[in-house]
Amino acid sequence: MTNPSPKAVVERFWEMYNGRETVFQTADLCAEDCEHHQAALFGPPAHYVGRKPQIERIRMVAAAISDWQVTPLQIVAEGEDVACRYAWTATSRVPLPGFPAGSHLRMDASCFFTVRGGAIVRIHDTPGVIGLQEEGPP
Amino acid sequence: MTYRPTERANIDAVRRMIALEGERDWEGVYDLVTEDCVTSMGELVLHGKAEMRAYDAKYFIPVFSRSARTIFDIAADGDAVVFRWRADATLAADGRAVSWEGVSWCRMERGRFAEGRIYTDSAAIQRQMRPPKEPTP
Repeated sequence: MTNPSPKAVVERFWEMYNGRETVFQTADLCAEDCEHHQAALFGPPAHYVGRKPQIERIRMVAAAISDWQVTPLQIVAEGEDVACRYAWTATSRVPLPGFPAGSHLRMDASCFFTVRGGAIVRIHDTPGVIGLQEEGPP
Repeated sequence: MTYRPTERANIDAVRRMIALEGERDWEGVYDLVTEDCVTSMGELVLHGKAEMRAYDAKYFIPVFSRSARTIFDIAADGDAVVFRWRADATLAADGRAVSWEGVSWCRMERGRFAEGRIYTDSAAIQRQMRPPKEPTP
């Protein structure tokens, strides 16, 4: 069986990310020592390595938001590098800086992945500006 | 990496622009931009090179006495180039160092920038630019 292309792995990652149950399985697409870099978003920047902290992070995010959806807008892939520009929407379960609980949030953001041997070995997420869905795209 | 010649040229154009920015050679930067280039950053949208010049002349060039961007990731596909970067700059007003990170998505036409979308935490930049609080006695 051949490895899927890096772009296909990233597309699968977003499909799984959008499912309430499958979001935790995104860790299975990542290598054991996958590096995660998350720029500041409602908190300080985060850097963690491995699946366990990845799953803990997903649990933390899922506790704060619901109805999340990522729609890839553009994917640029070359070799093992895959860049993805995406629209993210969600509803806040709890008050977040600048937004009361129940806000329908929207953000356009970017993510760089490195995919090696069919597994994601690095994710570098750079958020954009968060706004309200009713205000339209930024 | 197995880039086609046009993709390699587009990556070279990005690196050239970053180098020119560091040298504060703004005319050199604008030479790499098409006349009708559209640049967006959040709600800010600049239409054409003239608006870009006006914006830079008011909000960027006089605000920073030094600025340089470092590229960490870059990828190209067809006419698209995307790169992740950090900007390190010095505020002209008081000499403080500021830095911020972002990702630029660009569409190129014949080796020049025709469209750019910049993803960065603009609020973080604004926070760093606020004057430091006076120490309380």
